[in-house]
Amino acid sequence: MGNLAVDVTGLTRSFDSFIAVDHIDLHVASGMVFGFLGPNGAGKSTTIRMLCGILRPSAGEGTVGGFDIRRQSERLKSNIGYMSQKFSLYEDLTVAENLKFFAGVYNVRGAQRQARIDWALEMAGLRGRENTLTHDLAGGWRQRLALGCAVLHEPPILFLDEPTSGVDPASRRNFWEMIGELADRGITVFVTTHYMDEAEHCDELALIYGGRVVATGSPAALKRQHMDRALLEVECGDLMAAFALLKQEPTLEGVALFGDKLHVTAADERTARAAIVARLATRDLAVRAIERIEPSLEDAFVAIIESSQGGAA
Amino acid sequence: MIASLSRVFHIVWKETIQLGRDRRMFGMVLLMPVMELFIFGYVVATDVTDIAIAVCDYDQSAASRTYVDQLVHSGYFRVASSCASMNEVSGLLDRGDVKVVLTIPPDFSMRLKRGQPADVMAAVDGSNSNTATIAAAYLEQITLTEAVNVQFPDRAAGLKLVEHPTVALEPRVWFNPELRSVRYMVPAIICVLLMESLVILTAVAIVREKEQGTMEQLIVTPIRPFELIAGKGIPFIGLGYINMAVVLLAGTFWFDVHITGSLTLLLGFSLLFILTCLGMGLVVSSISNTQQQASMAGQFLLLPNMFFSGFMFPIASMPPMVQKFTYIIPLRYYITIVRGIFLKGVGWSELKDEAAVLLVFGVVIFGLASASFRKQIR
Repeated sequence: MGNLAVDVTGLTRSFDSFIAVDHIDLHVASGMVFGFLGPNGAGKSTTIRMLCGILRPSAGEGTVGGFDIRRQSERLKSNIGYMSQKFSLYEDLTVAENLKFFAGVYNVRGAQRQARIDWALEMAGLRGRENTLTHDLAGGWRQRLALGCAVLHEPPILFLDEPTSGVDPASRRNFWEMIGELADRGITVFVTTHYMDEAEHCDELALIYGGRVVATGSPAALKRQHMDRALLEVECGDLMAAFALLKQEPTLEGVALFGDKLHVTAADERTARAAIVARLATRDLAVRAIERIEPSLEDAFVAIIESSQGGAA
Repeated sequence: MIASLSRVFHIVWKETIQLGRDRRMFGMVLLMPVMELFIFGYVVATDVTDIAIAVCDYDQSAASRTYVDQLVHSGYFRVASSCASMNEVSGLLDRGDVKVVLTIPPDFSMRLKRGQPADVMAAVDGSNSNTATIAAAYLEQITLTEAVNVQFPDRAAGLKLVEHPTVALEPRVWFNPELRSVRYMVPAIICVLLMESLVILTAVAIVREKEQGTMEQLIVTPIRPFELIAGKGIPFIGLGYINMAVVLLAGTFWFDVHITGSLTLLLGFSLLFILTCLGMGLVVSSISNTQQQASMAGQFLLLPNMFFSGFMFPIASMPPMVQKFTYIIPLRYYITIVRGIFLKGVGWSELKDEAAVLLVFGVVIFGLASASFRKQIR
């Protein structure tokens, strides 16, 4: 059924008079890590619920894993994995019991069952702790166990709803490594997050705001398209003097100290470079390097949301 | 189909582990039948013995003394006070010294000698209606063996005369000859326990998944609503039957209350009631968001069932309006069935009407509840 794991158009969901999701189109290629970003209440969860076949769209059509989200929700559910921020495990069951339960629910049987459970234990690093009550696991372990439970049946598509909230940074990094491994095996990962550093791990992003998709593209492309200002990183001698000097230069829009370097924002890269060199030369400050750098995703998203609000007003 | 059975099996398996792991809960669930049996078997015993009476004997004859002796020998009455004249009657009753004041008229022995029925008057303290009814009934029963009419004075309506029938009546109490209330209670406790474990525990088990967020996980799996209902219900049906077994065993070996009728029939008819209870459990789970709410709502449903089913108070002694209301109480029919099988040993032909009503209740409540449950988890 083509090679789009998620292919929906005009997806809409309203609750009474409130439109939570407003005609969104999503086309996610197979094997991709797709990031779905947006502030709380933007419609992320509503969208995921429609894609998982558990909430009927008010309007719109589409398929997930080749199954119609309206008419084939039962078969769709067998072909996706889902994990939410609550790591919905049974806390009064042991690690092994949770895995066995979800294997049973997804009808993973026979030799396959033990192989998959072993695989999940290995992946989550929980070998040897099979008989620990889930309640006694720390957040990071629990999160990995939940992921293991969600992919026991080897679904081609995995939905993760804010999977790393409330988990320590080391576990978050570890978790994204696991996501990378799953993607390498050809699994499509559809993940929502509001951590920008996590968004950088995605192959493709969609930003949802007020129920509408306001931007799509790779992280690099989004940053290029939506940050039309040039960001220059300047290395030079006597940082404080240089900082004070460049602040006085009218052609530069912003100067900021950034570790042992300066970050300079300007409308045009070439004139800015010339202005920086000229200014610093007046005091004989040596310029070691001026480099154009990528603005952060956060910068890009602030710009996108500001422009979409400006367009709506 | 095989796949779906496997899913039901795994939910049952998981639910059973969870039930066993909650030690406090498990203990309570197993202790509950024993506790209720003892409470209702001993504390709420409706047997009335040793009723204090006062006798105003205007006749003072051998016949009147024999009559009073007979009352005392029955074991139900003891003469606590004597009473010289009728004027003392209300004083004795007001002070609560005695429950019954019996007045024997001067012509008592004369009338008996002539072969005419004699009248006695019994003023009964009605402040505890239960004791009063029972005391009056005992009095009538014992007196009926004599050619004596008992008159009950009624402040509003004057004298109510219970006439001695021309044909001598010798009452024999069937099914529970010693009139032991525990014999009446054991079967009813089975019914109430079954309802408690099915309605409240099932609802709590479902709501717990909502509360802990695992329901969200379950509904994105291929589990169908029906499989979830079955998987959640089966362990508690099992528990209900275990409770039933505990009460049956304790009833047999401790209280000496034996089942007269067919055990198979009892278990079979119970399934009809179980269907109704599961339906009520689902209703409770769909209106509750927390386990606490579920347990409160369950109690709320249970209460009218306990009071209007004849569990504690006989339906026949309720006001006509209330009696009509009891027809919509499912437990009423089940208690009739269980008591029938237990005490009278009656079978299919006597109970098929009750069974039919229960079946209708079960199908309607369970059907509606699972339809709304289905909608709720989609």
